[in-house]
Amino acid sequence: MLRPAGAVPAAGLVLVAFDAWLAARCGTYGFLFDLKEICQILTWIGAGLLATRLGSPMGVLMTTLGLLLACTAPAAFALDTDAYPVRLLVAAAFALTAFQLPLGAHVFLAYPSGRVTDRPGRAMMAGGYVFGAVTFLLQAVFGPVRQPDRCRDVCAPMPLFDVPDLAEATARVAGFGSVVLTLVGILVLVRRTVAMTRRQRRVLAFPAVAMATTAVLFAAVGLLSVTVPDEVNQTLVLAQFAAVVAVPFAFFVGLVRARLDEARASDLVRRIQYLPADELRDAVATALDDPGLRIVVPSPGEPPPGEPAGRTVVGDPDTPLAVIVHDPALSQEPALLTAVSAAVGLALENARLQEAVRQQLAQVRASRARLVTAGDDARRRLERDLHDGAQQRLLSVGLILSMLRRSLTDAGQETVALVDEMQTELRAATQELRELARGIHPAVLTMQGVRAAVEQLLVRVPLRVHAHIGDLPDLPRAVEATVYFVVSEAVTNTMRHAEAHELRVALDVTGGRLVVRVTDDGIGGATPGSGLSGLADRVAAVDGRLTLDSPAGAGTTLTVELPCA
Amino acid sequence: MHAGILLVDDHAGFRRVARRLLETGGLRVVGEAASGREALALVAELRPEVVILDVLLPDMDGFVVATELAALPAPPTVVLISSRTRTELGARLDTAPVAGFLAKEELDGRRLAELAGLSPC
Repeated sequence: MLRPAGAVPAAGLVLVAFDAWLAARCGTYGFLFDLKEICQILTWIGAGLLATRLGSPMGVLMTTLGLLLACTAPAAFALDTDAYPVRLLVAAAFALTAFQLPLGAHVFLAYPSGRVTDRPGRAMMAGGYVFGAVTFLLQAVFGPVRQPDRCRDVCAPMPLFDVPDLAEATARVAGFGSVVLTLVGILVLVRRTVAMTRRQRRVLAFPAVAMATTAVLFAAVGLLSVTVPDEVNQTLVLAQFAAVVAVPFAFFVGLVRARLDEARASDLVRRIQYLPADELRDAVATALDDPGLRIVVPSPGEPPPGEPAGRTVVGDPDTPLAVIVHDPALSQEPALLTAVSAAVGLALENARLQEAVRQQLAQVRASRARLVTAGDDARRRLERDLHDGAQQRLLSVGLILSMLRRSLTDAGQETVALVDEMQTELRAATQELRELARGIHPAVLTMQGVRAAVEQLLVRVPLRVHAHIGDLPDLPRAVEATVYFVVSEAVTNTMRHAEAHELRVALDVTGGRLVVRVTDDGIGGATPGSGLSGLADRVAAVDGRLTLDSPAGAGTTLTVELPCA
Repeated sequence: MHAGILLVDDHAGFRRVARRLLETGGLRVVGEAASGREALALVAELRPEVVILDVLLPDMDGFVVATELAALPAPPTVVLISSRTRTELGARLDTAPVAGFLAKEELDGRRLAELAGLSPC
């Protein structure tokens, strides 16, 4: 079974084939005329189907017109036959010609949206179809005017009532009605054109020019056929042929152009939200085909720019994000303006949010870096205070004890032993305090820099250590401290969990970044636990990156990349 | 009798203890300074034979003071002292124009005399 989508072209093809067969068999106007008729029908049906595929509602109207022309064609070939079925068919086709003009007018008036929305247009449509229906009845009843000596479109009319005067009157009514209908139609179109925007005129231009050309050619052929009845100029017929085919084609091209304009607007909407602000104006100007277009950010209290018809507010009318100042003619296309202004609103809002997020991120980064630096400073001060205060006093106590010990020449064994004990304890306390201070912040880092600090750190590691420290530039304090704590934490983790025998530490500058890599040959399987997550935070705070590679049974590699400046 | 020792350290408590320690060991302390500038001024005034110089001073780096002293026409012998360890201070100790280094807890008259080439009286 055929689907409707396939049924229409199939029915059209069958009708056209039948028409062609009739014309070839009995037609008396000649091959050229027949070909013109067939081509015209095929072009309307084809253009209509293509327009439907484009999604245009015009497609249905154009296809219907093509099918109607296919149905009325037998009444145009001057079929010279006495066969009763053919004569009956021709009579029906002739009656149907009454609807050619109303449907043709419908196509023109509905173009390009497929609907007739203006009041004069609708009135004219209604009048046209009523006229069509009346003419249809009259033509069915009285038939065409009989020509005594020759065929004029229909050779053997078959009216219900064979009254030549009434047939003549019917022809007059049809002719007069057609003229009125055409004039009114032209008036409606002209009136509309005046109110049109540049864009709309452009869409209408193709079919309008084609239609005008066709009308002129038809008039010329008609005039010739009246003045020189039997000598219809072949060249004119050919030109008429070209114009008749051109009309549906022009409709189709116009629709494609309208489609492209819409596509450009929707393309803008799709693209616009990712556009940088400085390219926004150009994109909108292109989409609206208005080179003078401006996008103005209004200052509060100032009157809005441009004349009322030439501005479209973006965002809330009370607190607009921006005002699009454009060609006032565009106000005829409110739907397009609404879509574009919504897109511009999106783009501006998007840009504003991005900027806000960017600023906030920069602030958060800066404050995080400040926190790390402040923390380092606090640690350094604490270490210094411990060293300058408690440690100095313990030192003095130690010296005093040494003097005391030396002066105890006459003292008893017991006293000397106690003083010795005191000295040992004091030395242990001093050492512990020193370790504590180093844990808080290594003095060597402040005094000698990161290379010495890392080297001294590794001296105390009871494993086979391979250290490679390349040429390092002057690093910011926060970065130096980060390097130290990374190596220190990695070493601590290795000692605690890895069961390793060997440790490799490498510090190198690669591609402007300082890369710290600590590798052990231990059991692996390390996870980014709490110690490492604190370290990762610290690394991220100075814009660095920490990665941990620790497959089970294959050692652990901790890699940290840091900025050099 | 030697020309005496200038003791430079910013901790008054330590200077007091160190002075007594050195004097107990038979050495003569002719003056005390709490900062680098004061030390340079006192050297010019007292012309001590030996300067015991703390590495970490509030106004100047001890190494800088030692370098300036070494540039004098008749430079005193300088022995650096510090509560920091030799490893913490690093390579600068090896290149400094001084007679030697003593950790503060190792300070006593005999060792100082050895380093500075003094003979206790």
